[in-house]
Amino acid sequence: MTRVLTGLLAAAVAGALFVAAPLVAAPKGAAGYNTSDLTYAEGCGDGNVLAINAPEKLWPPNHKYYEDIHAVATGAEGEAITLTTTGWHDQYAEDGTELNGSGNTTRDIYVDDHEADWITTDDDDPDPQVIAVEHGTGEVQTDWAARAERSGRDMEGRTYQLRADAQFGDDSCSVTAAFTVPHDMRPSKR
Amino acid sequence: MSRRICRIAAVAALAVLSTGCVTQSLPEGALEDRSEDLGVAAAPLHVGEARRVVLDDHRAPVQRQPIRVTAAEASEAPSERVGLVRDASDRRGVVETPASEPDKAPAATPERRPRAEPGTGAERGTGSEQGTGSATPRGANRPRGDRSGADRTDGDDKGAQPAPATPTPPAPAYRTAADVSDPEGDRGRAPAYADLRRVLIESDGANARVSIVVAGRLPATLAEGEVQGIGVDFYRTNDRESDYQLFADGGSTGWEAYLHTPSGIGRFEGSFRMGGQMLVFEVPWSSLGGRKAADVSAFVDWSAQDRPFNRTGGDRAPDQGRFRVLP
Repeated sequence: MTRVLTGLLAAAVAGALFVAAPLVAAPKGAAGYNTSDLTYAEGCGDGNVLAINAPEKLWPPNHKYYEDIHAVATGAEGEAITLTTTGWHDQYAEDGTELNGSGNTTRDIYVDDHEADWITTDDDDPDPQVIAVEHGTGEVQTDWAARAERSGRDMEGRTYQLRADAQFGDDSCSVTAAFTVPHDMRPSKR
Repeated sequence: MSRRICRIAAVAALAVLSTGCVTQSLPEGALEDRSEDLGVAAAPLHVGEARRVVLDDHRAPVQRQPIRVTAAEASEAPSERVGLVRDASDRRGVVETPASEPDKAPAATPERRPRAEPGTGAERGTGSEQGTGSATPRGANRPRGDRSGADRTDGDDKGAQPAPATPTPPAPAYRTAADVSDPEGDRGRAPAYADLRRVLIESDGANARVSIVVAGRLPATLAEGEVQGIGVDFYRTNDRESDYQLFADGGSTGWEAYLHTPSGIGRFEGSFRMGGQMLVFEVPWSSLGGRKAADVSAFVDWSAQDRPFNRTGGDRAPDQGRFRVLP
């Protein structure tokens, strides 16, 4: 909660200054060593702020979920807010199945939020996505989780992406965050 | 002169061949007899010199202290034991293990003994670190000097005076909490060291020792582009995702171990050792949610960038479902 508030505070500052993300890198050990949480924030006008809080890297690649990923839309004037977030990663084969060597786990990135409605695109989609929609006023937050795993076939590792689109009355804006599960942790990647 | 050189060359070739034979036979021994191996593995951690190893609050380095994998041939030579030494700097070598392990303590009888195959000497294995308890048949091979334990009744002890009471109690013995075997050859397109063969979980009351045995010798460092993960999941509160996990990550820079808890990667308060075909985690039960029953499964996954033949593979134990651990 403190982390989220810190992120929102940073996001508010970012909104005031209209500075592109990332803004804050807070050391965090829960996702594995050498991993930091970053807040990607965007000022959306009229004091509205949209932010994503996500890790820089997920490590080790032990197939476990990292659950401290949030998209937060904060409205300044009590308008209705619609927050749409979309998550995906880049390690799929052409038929939309997970790249061999990833561990054959399910739901690698998912909506960890009972208040959000979410769907997944078709399994045949070569780039399957998860899309969540949540409505509210004041502050709307959608929580996500992503598995720390990757296939060793790709030396670039796996990149997760999360895009948030917020509608504040007539205003809208979007923010995208990316985080990786490295292929390995040789010194150059730490 | 040339005849002498030929003779020396022949002797050298014979030595190489014989060494190779011993090495080839080691996998059987590694699977079936590990009582001594784990005893040696209990030595303190050493930080490797040849590799980048950094100790911090949730990682443990690969131990340079060798872990000995006992060969099946040892049963044929009671006074000598042959083992394989492997660590980060000394890749392989055949050595004689010490003839005695002075700090042995009596061990409880394991609930389940390792799979034994007649004629291999494996039937004497106990699967316990201080594996000299009643499960060991009398007269079976054991290290010289290892005469502690409940079956200490052989002739050398006749007339011996009762030992004086000692103020320090013996170290608690490890007993088997779960022992699961997995078939060989079900690893996909992966090397033998990604083929999970056995998961042994032992408890001494306060600590858990989790040993993973694979079908091939684990490299101290993997090839460029090759990665391997070995994990043991403990399910305590739900059936979908484990609550605790011991995990070792291997790559071209070596191996590192992690403890995953419900709050993320936690402090690894234990040891992680590997050698031969075995990898051993030892952590307090408190690090795994307490000393209580859990459902457990283990996995190995392996993949490599090896174009045009991208290869992947791995294994699970059990192949489906989980096994119950009763510490």
